[in-house]
Amino acid sequence: MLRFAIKKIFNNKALMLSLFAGILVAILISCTIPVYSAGISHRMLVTQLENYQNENKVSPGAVIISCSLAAFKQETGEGGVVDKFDSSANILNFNYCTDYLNASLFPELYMPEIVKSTSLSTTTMFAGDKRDTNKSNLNEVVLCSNDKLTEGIEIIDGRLPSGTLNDKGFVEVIISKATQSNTKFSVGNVLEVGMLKEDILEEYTDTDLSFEIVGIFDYVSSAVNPIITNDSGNEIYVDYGLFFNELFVKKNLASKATWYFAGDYTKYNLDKIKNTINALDNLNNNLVVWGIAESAATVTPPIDQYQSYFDNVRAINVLLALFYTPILILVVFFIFMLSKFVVENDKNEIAMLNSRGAARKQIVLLYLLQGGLAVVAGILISPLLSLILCRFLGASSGFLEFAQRAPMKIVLSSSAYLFCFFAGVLTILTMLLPVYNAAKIEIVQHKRNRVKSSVLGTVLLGVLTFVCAGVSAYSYYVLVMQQGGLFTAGGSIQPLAYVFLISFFAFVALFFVLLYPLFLKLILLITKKKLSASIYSAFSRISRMEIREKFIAIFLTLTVAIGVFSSISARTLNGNIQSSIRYQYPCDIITDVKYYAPVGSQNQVLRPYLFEDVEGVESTKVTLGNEPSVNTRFGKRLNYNLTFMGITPDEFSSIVEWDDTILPQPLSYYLDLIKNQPEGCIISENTAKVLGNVEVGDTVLIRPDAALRGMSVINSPVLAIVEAWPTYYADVEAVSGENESNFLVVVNNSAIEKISDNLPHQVWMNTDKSIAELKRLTIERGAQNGTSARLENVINGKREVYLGEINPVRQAVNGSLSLGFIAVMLICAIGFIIYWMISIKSRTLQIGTMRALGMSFKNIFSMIMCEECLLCVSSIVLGVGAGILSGVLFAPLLQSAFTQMGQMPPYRIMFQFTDLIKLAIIIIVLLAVSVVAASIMLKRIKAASAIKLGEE
Amino acid sequence: MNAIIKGVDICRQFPSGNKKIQVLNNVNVDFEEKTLTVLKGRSGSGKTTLMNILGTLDRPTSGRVFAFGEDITDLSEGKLDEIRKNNVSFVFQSVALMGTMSAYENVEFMLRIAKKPMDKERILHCLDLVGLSNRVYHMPYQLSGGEQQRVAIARAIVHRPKVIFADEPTAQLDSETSKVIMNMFHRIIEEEGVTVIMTTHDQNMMELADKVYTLDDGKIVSYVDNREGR
Repeated sequence: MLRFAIKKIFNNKALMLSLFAGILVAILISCTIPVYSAGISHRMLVTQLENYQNENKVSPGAVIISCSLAAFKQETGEGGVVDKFDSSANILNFNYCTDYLNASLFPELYMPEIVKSTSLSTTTMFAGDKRDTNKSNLNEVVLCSNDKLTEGIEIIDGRLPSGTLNDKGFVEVIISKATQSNTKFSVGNVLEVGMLKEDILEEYTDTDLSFEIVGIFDYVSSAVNPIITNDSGNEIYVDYGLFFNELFVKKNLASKATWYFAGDYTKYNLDKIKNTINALDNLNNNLVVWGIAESAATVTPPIDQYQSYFDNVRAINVLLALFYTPILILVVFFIFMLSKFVVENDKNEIAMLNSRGAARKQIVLLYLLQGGLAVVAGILISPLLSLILCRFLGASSGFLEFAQRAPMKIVLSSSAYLFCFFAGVLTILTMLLPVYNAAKIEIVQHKRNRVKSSVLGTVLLGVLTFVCAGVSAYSYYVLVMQQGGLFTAGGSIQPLAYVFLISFFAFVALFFVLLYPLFLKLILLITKKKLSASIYSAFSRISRMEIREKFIAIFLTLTVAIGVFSSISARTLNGNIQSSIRYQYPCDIITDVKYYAPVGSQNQVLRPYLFEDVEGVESTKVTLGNEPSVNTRFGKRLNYNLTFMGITPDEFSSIVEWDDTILPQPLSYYLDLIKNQPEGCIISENTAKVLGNVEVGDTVLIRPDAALRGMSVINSPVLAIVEAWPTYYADVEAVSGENESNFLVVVNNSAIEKISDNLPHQVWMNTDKSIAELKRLTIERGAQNGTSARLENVINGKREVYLGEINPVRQAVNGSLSLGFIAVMLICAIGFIIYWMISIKSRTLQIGTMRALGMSFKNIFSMIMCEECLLCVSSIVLGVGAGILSGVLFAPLLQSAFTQMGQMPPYRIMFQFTDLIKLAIIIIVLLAVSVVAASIMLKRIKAASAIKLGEE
Repeated sequence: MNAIIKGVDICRQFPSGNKKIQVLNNVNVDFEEKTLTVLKGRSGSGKTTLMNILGTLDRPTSGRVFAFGEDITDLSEGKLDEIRKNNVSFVFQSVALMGTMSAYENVEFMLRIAKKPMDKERILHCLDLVGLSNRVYHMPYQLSGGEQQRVAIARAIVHRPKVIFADEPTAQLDSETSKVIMNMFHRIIEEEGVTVIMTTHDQNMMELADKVYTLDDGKIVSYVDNREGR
């Protein structure tokens, strides 16, 4: 049986190869979902943790616990109740804590260890040089030790201390540069150290040890340094072993312990995240039990980041599932279709086998062996291929756009193999379904069924189409009207979203195969007298679509529709995110400039513009006003929630990056209005309404500075009324949490400066300089201009734009939609080419007959091309239309994925014409390939041989 | 009488690996107008190959073919297409109707190929001639094997060809139906004035033919003119 199956595979190479490709794509996509999701989630977590590090200046993989050993409660320690004041208690507490951290906490962080260290230190003591007879020159010091001291420092003078008392019986120590500078100690000094000043002054020391300074050190510059201390300039470092034995165990001088662990968070094991959270929770609980929760200084990995990670993973998974569902359904349909082609090809053989006594399960087993080989190969290859594919997708910077990025961490998890297995099972079942149906038909019944099936098939098709139409319309209505969007309150996708997508695509495809043949029949009826043999034959064939033609029509319509849908969804998501980021951050830097009068000065605060002619900085002043207000002569006064902007139109135009599709006119139009009429203003729609339905041309009174009275107003004609403006949001969230209206007035700086040129302002700029440099520049220039100036509330727009681009959720969507689009186009190409090859091959007798009847090669070629246009091209065109329609209907539902306050700019459906061009190129290439393939195949058909083959 | 088709010293070889198989070996045949000629012989005797060459579906390795007063041996494909379209017609063993066209449309299709006017009366007359006037709009899968073959015959005559080549037209039919088909051919010859050249194994069919050529191993081994006995 196996040999027979393999022989059949080789006899049907092209078809079986295509089937194998379809199976591989199905399993590969299924396998990629968990792998890609895990990789993106990991990258997302790393990005979040890097942001955490930048903002908090501490490694997110660090655990630091620093506490007083005396603060431990009595219950601590393996020995049960311990007398708190027993000198052994501190040692017990320290050992217990160290063991707990090493055994229970650090391993549970599941991060590769970069460094782990333990520090011990004394309380503040006093030290003086033994040779200094002036005992008043004492310094406050702290004796410290660290078991990884040498990894955190570099000796700049002298040497490292010994681990034992030296020949003179002294404890060798080293000090930092800062300590040297503070205490004036140096290499060679021998110190007496005591708990109290008097101890030394009185020549009594609590310790009978002397400390000799043998080295000066500086700290190693590293993000991860085991010497966790704020250098106060009074630390004296002893070798750890010596400190532990001599100062801690023997003399119980250690009062503070610090445990430090730094893990490589970039290699964090995502599967263990729950373990980590549990371990950190346990630590917090233990700190309470030990009694040091309030006194201990702790730094732990940000649990809330890890916990929000789960929400993000869920969001990615639901988005991936949503976008992959139509594609997986398409791939399954593709496999079913190819399997049906195989069975159609073999139907006579199957019927004959059946008639000769083969059992149904034997026939099914034969095809199971054929397909099973492909599935097994697919399951074996797909996990490895998915690794490569995910690395490739990890570089996605946009829909069908890829950039050089740091590689994503990709790991094959058990989920990937599970997905592979289930996808394999699904493909096998899909593949065997047509075989199972065909296996029960005997040869006589097979011929009889053709009469019944055409009528029954049409009725069934009609019913299915009607049902799909109803389901898709109803689900869309419910999604839009009642449920208000795509996501449930819990953040998962509304199930109806899947129902809508699937039923809509199914409806379009079925509607096409139901009505299109009738349409062609109508054309045929009207034009048949004038049609040539080739065109007539093509119309006749396609208007009476058989199963194979119906399948390919449905397949192509679905494929193209899903491809276009993917591109619209991706562009809409990306475009709106990009737009909203750019709306909020229209240039590199936006910053307030705060001015202060020089100390002791009674003069008015001067606010000169400090960024004129700065090399490497392109800037503009945006005047904020001083409690500005606007009113009409007789109307309401508006002086609350007012976004007041005084701008210099030319500079503003060159600085700001703006999407000109947001407003009815390009931004330059509005800026020109203000430039040409400097007294004029631009107001927002809600401002116009509040002021009493002000219209363009009406005059309003603008007071930029509430402190000035009298004629310090601008009589300003309203030049335009807008609903959007760079950084302007019509709704803002008030302290109460409710939404409040925010009003906008934009005027020309030249009009403001006639009243006052000393008003508070922002600076908007594009520059490559760092914020630190800009801050320094501000201070310098302020001083030059006789004022004290500082940058405050600096908004780094460039960084926000960058973060928006590398946002992992966005990357996940782009990657998955890109993968979906590529997969769809790949199987479209395979399905298309294989259909034409089968179509021509199966009609060898018919074509030979046509040649025998007198049709030339050119006539037959025209017939095939006409069929291709009538069937495939029209399916593709309908698919494009359906894809656009589905995108237009569905993309607004994605709006609920946005959580920004009062989404600005308004959510829009976006579509890039280049995507259609890419699709058109693919289709043209496919058509060209099919033309060439058809031509070659037709040329090979000799009438005489074709007819003889038909007779055989 | 003049031969409407004539083959002179026709040889045909086919390559088979490194060897060449001689399928026809200096065959000389001629066919008169308005006659029914049978080419008989066992399987592999070369009768179908000879018919294909005479019907312009194949070319001889050597020898000449004359049809309708001209040497057609070296004509271009385009010219041969024209001959097949206008002067020659075929009826095949496997019937080979267009599956998506009804009986009427199949017959009409031939007129389209031949670029002749869509004469509905002519089409219905041809279908009536073959006894299918009550099955005009049936699809091929709704017809029996014999009925399908009759549609093929109607298709073969609708455009008034001069010669019909029928390659084992009754091979897949029962004896009664075969007789009906053969009588139909006679009727067509009388009414339409065509020449019919047929291959067959059936001994009964040969008695009804005007002339019989017997082939064996690519050669004409006998020739019988039944008209002399009638």
